[in-house]
Amino acid sequence: MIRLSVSFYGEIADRLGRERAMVFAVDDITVGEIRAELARQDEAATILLNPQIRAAVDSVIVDDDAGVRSGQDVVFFSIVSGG
Amino acid sequence: MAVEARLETGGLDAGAELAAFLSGRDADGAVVSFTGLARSRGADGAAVERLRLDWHPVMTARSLSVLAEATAARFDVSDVLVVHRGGEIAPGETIVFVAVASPHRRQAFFAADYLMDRLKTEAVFWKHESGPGGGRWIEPTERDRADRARWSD
Repeated sequence: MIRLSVSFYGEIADRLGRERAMVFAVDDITVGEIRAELARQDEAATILLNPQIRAAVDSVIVDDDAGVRSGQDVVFFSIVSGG
Repeated sequence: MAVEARLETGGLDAGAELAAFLSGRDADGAVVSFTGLARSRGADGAAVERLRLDWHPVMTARSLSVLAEATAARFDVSDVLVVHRGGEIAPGETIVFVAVASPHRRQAFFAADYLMDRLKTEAVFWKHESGPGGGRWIEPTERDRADRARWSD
């Protein structure tokens, strides 16, 4: 069982809200699989399938094949604007 | 050398920041500062009533530190300061303040210019403008990217 906090930043937060708690009945999961599961659960979240939407785990930017452990913070974010 | 990067979610008083940065400074011959203000018009001329800078509690602050440290490493400077707003900002309010001290003015000018060009494209913010015509999310412009490319290593 994997329990995660998933949060959203930038334009995607307008569509998906800031944060969701997610539970997966598996022992291993990747960022890409979390992306796909969110898109399966919620049509608005299909935007996460756009490769321009990047991800970070515990505030470190990662690729879709990165593994995620229970309790870690997963962030999906739109293209950064700069300051 | 002191390198300081701060994210402010309240106000930012550029005058007070500059005064503090100058205070007691007697070994440097130059301080260059830059103050960025929120504009009342977007890039297309549309009225902007509110700017919102979405920010992440770890990644945003870290990006400011990384860019300030890169500036200090690249130029002959004594101190580097960046203070950046996050959250809701009204036109005319200060968004960002940068100050660089150096023994010589040229390095201070270059360092401040470099730091701003990198902040404009790489700082971890998500910028949203809203006005009478609605709201929209902003991405770096081609000009921002060209300015950043001037410094490619």
